[in-house]
Amino acid sequence: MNQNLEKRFEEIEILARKMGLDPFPVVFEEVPRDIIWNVASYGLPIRMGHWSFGRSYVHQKTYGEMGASKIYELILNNNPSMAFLDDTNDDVSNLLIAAHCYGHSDFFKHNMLFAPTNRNMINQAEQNARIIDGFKDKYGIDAVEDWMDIGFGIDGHIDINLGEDRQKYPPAEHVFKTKQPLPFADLFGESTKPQVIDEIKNDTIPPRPERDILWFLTNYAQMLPWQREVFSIMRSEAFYFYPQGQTKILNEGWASFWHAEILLNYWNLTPAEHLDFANAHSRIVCPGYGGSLNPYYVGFKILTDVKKRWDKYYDEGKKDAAFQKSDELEKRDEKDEIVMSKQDGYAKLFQIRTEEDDISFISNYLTRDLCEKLNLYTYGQDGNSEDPEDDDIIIKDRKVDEVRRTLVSRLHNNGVPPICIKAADDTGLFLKHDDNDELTLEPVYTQETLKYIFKVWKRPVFLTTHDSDGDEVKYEVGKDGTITEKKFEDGNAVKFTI
Amino acid sequence: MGILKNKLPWDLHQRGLRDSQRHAKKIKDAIKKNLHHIISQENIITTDGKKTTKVPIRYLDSYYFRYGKMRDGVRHGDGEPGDILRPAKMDNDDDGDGTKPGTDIGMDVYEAEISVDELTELMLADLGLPFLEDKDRKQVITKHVEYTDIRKRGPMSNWAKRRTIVENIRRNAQEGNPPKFGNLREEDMRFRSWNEHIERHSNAVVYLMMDRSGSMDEHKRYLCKATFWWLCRFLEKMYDNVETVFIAHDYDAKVVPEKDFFTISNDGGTRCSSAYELAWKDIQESRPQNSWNVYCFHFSDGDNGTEDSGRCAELVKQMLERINMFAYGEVEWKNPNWNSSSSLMDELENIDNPHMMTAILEDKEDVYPTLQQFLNKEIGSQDDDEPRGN
Repeated sequence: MNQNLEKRFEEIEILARKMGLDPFPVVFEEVPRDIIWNVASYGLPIRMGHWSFGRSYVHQKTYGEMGASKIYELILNNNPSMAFLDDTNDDVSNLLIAAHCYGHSDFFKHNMLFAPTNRNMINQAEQNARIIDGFKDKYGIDAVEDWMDIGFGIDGHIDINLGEDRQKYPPAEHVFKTKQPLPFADLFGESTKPQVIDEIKNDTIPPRPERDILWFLTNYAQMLPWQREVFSIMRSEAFYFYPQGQTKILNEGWASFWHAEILLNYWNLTPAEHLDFANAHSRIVCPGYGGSLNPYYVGFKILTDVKKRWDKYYDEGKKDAAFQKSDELEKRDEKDEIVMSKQDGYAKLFQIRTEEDDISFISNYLTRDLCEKLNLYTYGQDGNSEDPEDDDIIIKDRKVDEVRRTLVSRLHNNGVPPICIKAADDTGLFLKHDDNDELTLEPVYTQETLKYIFKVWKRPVFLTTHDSDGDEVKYEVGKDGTITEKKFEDGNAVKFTI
Repeated sequence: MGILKNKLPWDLHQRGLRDSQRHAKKIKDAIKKNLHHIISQENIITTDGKKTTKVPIRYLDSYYFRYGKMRDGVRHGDGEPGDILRPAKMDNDDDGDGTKPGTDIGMDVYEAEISVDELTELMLADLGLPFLEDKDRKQVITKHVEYTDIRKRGPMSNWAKRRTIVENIRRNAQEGNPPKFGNLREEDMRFRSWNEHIERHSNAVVYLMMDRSGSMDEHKRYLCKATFWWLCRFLEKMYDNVETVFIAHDYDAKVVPEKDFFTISNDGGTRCSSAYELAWKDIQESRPQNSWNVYCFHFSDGDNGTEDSGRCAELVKQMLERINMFAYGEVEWKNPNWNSSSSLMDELENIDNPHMMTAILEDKEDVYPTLQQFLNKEIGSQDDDEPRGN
């Protein structure tokens, strides 16, 4: 990187901070494409090895070499943030990327979802990788990778609300309660003395349905110390990555919004470079090829729209003296639409970046107008045929409610089916797929995943789920590891498959 | 913050390459597991043996709880609700590229690309000609690579750790230091190195006989063809110098060139003994016992006259005095209700000689087990008098 560009990177950072961004320090590194592919496949510069990362590396490399996709930058949530630039980028692209990265880093630092994440993950992951490499040397690469297969099979099942660091359930204990006799007990022939009742608390495990399957197995299944360690490492990395899946649209939109804002206000660009910038921007923030949706674009458009709307509400509010005196932050009309606000566009944007994730962002800020302007629609199978494979794929709806609902439905729980542990004892581990989830599980994957869990729990594993008609379906991995699937209709088993 | 140019020692940490090799190994294992299914695919048999082929492997994935049905999604563009974006059962092969609303769920069928050569190597790794004997004029050559040497330089993948440690301790001791591992220097490094190991075996000739009579329908011919095809690949691959003689027969038999062998068909009657006679005549005339290993493979649907079957058995008994192995494969339609084996099969099965082998092929899945049975190099490497298990 030339000196001139290095100086301009510093100018971009100063400008970003002046405009209100508060990023972590960002370390930029220019690297060959192969390293970009490496980091993109693993999600971190140095991370535990597993064959599945090798698969995505081959994928990245193949598409990269074909020129089908180019990754201009990668930035990691860390303090300092670390950003990788493709060393074939031109100067203007790099300036845009620098501004883009400051946007991301600011988001990492301030978005609430990221607050509990490990800001030292780059080093932590490297240590984790060394530990796991050591296990591979000691216990054999096949044994360790097979165990990691299991870990990756369930590492989507963590409970983000209870967090990464958790105490084990309180141990079962006897609780003695004194029960006063009821008035007139003597009339019913009962004892009139206070009674001591011995109650056992916490005698079932888990005491309430447990969503963090990985945590539960790590703590309550019998396994070797190295296996426990592998699971803990995988779980801690799953917590690190979780918020990224929940904020893709908002985070990318935020970074794109700011690279545009910053570069438009950057004084040190020649007119020719301005043109290049506009080109690069429209390439990155494009609607998406062939009708597919580009998260950068959706996020960018919603944020631009918010900025415009709130600037208007703010101006309206300034004209209204009564509103200025009131305690209200915003005023709504009879149709419950905002008409005035004490927050201007920027203030609103910064509030959104702190408080929202994709689900609330889409639900709250994708308006009917914008939905129409972006020409969005929902699509899916028409459901006319018995076999879903024979269904045509059709445009379903253009109403904003449907579009929002569909966009959001894929984001819940990062797209992981809600399954919790109901009970666990010597007779087995009982899993339950949430009845409110109208979607159904894929049977082959379900069976194989249950076998994974069986390998860990070493006793029978049960799963209760449902089919598309809402009838109960039960899977069971028996003592000998064989799996059965039973379908129920009105409580009677109707189908029995092995 | 500054901009670094390649400051970190990346070359030490490029794990993608290493893990992709693990992935490749997983694919290979999966292929190996599915060989019996894969090797009888039409698209492989019809290649010229040099091409690569795509092998679909199911479920090369780590599993997790996932949704089964395709989920609705959001896109942008023109169109009215109800418009068909993609009709059913089309473009099934371009799922997931993001340009079309693919069925984003569904079985992950991983398509691995593998050369036919590699596939041959995989499946034939444990196979060999059974009962191979030393003969006067050695001509059959097999090659394999053996790690037998230790050198001071070499690729890290061939690093001989134990030897390196020994050298290191030895040097430490020589220099008057405690004879322990430590202070590793480049001069201590040792690497394994290989030699190409050439083994000369005796001459071998293989007679491949196939029934081409009218009763051999397409299914049966395909099974024969698939088995012979791999047999030929196997012989080419393993032995530099094996002669093959192709004999096609219906009522009469004749020697044909390889390229015709797989294409011809006829609708005459059947007389299997004609092929055996022809082979036997050739063996007696031009393959003296002291310098030739002789192998005969015959495939037929067994639709042969009872009388001729008896004649066949007599011939085979005679031949077995001389030759190393006679293998008979019978191709049939699967019929679970009755044992459909033919008079020819009955006769040949009754020959009590470990050098006589029979197999029944009913569908494509049987090709690989048959090859494994016929090309079991373990038999005959011990004493011959062990009776052959059925």
